[in-house]
Amino acid sequence: MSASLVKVGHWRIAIIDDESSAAFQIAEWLTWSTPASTVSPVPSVRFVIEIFRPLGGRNSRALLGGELSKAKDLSVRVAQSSPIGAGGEASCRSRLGRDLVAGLPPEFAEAVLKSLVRCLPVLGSGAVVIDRAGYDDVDSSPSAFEHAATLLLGLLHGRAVASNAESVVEDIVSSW
Amino acid sequence: MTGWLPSSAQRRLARFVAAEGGAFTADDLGTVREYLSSQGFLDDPANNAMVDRIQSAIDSGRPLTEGEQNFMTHELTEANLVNDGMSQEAAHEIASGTHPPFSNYDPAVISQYPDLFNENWFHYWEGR
Repeated sequence: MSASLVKVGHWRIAIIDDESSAAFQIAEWLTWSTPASTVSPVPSVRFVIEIFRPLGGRNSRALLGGELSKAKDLSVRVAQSSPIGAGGEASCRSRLGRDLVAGLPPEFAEAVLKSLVRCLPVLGSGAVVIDRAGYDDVDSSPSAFEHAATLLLGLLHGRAVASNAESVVEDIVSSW
Repeated sequence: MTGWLPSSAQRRLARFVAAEGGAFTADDLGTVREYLSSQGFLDDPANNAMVDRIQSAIDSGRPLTEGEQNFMTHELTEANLVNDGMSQEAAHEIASGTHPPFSNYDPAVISQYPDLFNENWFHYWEGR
């Protein structure tokens, strides 16, 4: 699994092809779909991204991954894990700090879905499935996962249209 | 526990731990504000809100709350370790050991910015 690291302002970003340790037990799927405005011939593409920003009293951290594939509609499926607890087993590999807990608790899954639905029209059509996630029981927040979802969708779309991943990251993170 | 730290850092850390109980001064807050600003951490609205609350408490003579005291202890410890040459990440880990997890932001600030904190932070303050 190859990874590249990018620094944009105070943010550190890891772009990873895939991360099997971020797969988790799924409690529920959150779904959303709408008819496509245009049909885009997107190839299937998968990414995992990790974001980290120090804030002094705490950090801002999230790891999120998934796949974009061709579809007639525009749809999102977000895998949700059990709720957050303190002291969960950190079995998800991190490139940016201490290892993470594999999973996407409801408070983060809802933030991811909200963020994806807001940005999704850029795709035209396609199916996005979120099935990789890792969180820190102190440093992760709904806001961090909203950022991660925006960045992941940008990378999936960018790969589909053959954009350079690092320039996509710089464009998106600079706007945070 | 801190024997591996430089002696100057040990003295400063001891001073800040001793200051728990609310005896932080306007100078201490100035050090925290300067450190947070130098690192770009005042972009964070929760940090800004904590600094504003503590400034208001010092100005009015109100004793600091538990969250405010822990915030000051954490940030002063981190600031002085960084100023002594330690990396921010290592200094943050040590500073995080000066208080229980989830306790270094006041619950009013956590409630003001719920998207910036996860449920563990809310649970810590429930019933306290």
